[in-house]
Amino acid sequence: MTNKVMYNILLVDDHDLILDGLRTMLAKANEFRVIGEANSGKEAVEKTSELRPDIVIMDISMPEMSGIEATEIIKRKYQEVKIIALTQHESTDYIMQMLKAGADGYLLKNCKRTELIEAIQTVLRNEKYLGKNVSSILAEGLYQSQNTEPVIPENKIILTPREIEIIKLISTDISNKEIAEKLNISLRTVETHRRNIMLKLNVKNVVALVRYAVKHGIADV
Amino acid sequence: MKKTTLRTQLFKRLIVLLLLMSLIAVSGIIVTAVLKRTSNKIVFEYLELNAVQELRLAFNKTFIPAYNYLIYHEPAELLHFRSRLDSTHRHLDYCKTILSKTHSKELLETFENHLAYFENMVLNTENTDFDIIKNRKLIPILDDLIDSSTQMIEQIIFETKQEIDECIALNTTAVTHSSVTIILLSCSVILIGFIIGSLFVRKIVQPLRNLVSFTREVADGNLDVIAGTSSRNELEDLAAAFNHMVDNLRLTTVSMDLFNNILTSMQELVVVVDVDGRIVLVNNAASRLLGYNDDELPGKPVDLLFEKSGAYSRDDVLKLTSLKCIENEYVTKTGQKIPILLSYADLRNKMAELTGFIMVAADITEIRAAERNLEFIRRKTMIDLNDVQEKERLRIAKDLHDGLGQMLTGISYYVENNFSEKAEPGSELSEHIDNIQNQIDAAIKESKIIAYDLIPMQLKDFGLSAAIAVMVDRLNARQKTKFVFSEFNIHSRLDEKLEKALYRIVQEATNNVVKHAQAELAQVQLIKHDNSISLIVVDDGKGFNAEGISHGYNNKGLGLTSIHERVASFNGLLNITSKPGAGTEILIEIYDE
Repeated sequence: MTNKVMYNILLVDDHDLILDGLRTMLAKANEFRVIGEANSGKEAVEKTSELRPDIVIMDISMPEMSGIEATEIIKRKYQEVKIIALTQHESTDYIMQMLKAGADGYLLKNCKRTELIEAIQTVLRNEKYLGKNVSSILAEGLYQSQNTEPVIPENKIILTPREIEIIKLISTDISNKEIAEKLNISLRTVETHRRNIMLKLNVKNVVALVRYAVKHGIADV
Repeated sequence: MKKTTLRTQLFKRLIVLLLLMSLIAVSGIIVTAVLKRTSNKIVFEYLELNAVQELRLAFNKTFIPAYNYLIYHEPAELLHFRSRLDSTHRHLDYCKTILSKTHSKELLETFENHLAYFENMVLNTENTDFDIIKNRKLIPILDDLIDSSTQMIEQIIFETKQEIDECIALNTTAVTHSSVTIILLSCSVILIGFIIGSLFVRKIVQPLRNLVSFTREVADGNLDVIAGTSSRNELEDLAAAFNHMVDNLRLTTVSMDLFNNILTSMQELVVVVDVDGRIVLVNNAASRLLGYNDDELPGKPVDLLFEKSGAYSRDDVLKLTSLKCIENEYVTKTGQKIPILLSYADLRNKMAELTGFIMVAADITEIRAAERNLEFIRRKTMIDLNDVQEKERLRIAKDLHDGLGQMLTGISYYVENNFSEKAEPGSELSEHIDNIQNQIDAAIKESKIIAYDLIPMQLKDFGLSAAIAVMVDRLNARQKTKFVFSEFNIHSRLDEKLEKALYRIVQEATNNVVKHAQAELAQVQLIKHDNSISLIVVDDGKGFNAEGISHGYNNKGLGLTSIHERVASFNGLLNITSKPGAGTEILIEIYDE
């Protein structure tokens, strides 16, 4: 980036130590100027509308409104403001949530100065930036869900052995009470199983249930 | 007082009576003697009279022969006269001997003289020549003589008659007096006898009557009577024995009253049945608590008190008598059930034969309620403690994750800002600084791990499903067993407490799978219904014997206990199915409040 425009940065974190560190890191960069600091999501929104920065470095876990919520609000009001998440949280949920909220970048706090600068420059180019650890986390998550072979055929994944047992008994057209006595469990338990089965298989009545059972070879009529 | 016997006392009185009767006898004898005397006297007088009258008769009989002789001077007449005269003399001699009174004797003497004169006059004519005229002249003299002699005799007769009359009068008086005396005496004796008898009888009867009335009082229930003991005979012994008996009775009654009091006052229900199961006796507590009147239960079968009829069997109950307390339920008249602790004892008579059973029951409704209450409080306390614990954990986790983590990051930045660029890449200093950064990174990581172990931040920030997903990912990364998480119909987050509890349950259950199951595949399923949420954790591992864990706390390892507790604190349903070699399935359902 060679143009000499000053970009304004708003730092948002509830720990002053972090803010100090960030400020010091950014002080060395000439094109960036820290114009404000906020300690909570609420303050972040306020300061954003007040100071209209170019970039917001947003922490996630803060009191009085989390970074995720603040990001949502800011992005709704001021699309042009770039928001980079800077957080301890390494797990997929946080990453996904932040990105869903509209964050342009996601950095882990243990990143170095160089990475921070790079992130800011990238998002200023209207690109998304994910910290190197972050990408690998996301990639791993993706890999896991892709690579999970259906170890078991679909219907068996859903139904537990006990539930299959109960479906068989339901198909023989005996009452819940008799099922309970047969399996030596309480009536309430039988009713719970029934409910769960019907919901899982998305059937509304016994007829459909039995039909499913027959279709999938669970019960013979 | 010296003791005598009734026999002696009776004896004394009889002797008195005998004496009195002998008095009568004696007076009778006296009276008889007196009467005998007077009547004897009369007899003597009559004999005298008779003799004198015989004399007169004999004398009279001499007249005619005398006159005839004088007139006719027939020797036959003289013979006649002599014989009659002899007879008269005989009678006269007899009279002489018989007459007792002096006056009579004198008169008789006079008569004798006259007779002698008469005799001589007449007899003299024998010797003289018969002179009719002279003899005729003798006749008025003889008449005079005869008159005066007869007069004598008459006088004697008269006097004797008088004597007799007197004696008779005397006799009559004597008789009257004697009768009166005897009657009076007899009456007195009878009266005295009667009085003595009555008094004696009264002496016997009165104490006896008293005793009878006392006995009646005792029969009516008044045990404070004391029989008097003043008879000095067997009645005294009787009274003493009576008092002794009453004392004993009093003691027995006190015991019986005490016994009855105990039965009536005691709180436990006592029911006594015979060998056929018919109720013989119920105490107050039993009647009251079961809602029957005092007389309603005796005679009825004991099955009436229990839910199942036909429950009574003699042999079954005999088996139960060795057990201390059995939990059971009595059914009241209105059908309400009362929980009890029941114990049986057999009732045997003196010959050790079984005559029935005693059932003593303690009403444990309150105990049960207290137990339930205690359990409720315990659960609530546990829930509250758990709550506090969770809050604490969250706080610590937050502090670690955010606080400590951030501080470490701050330090990292500080080092980065103030040292990293100062060091030459590759130099020793640079190496040291990198070292420091690495250490800090490690420390941050460590704090995150610690925080996660306490409570994953995702649970608070994103909810149960997210947290379970993370858990499952971590498990899959580290364990051999494959974990799969499925959720059905979950569109929103649940109650915070519930989420935490369910998370912990899943944590516990998956822990168990990791530690014990040696499974290939384990599934965690969350199913949301309209009014409830179901959680299923199922694995295909070793399984265990789930038979003994349906209610109690004899669980395999503490893991199941805490799951049990958590589910119970939400009044949820927990069902664990497991058989050795057939895997394990934990089913939980918790209803919305």
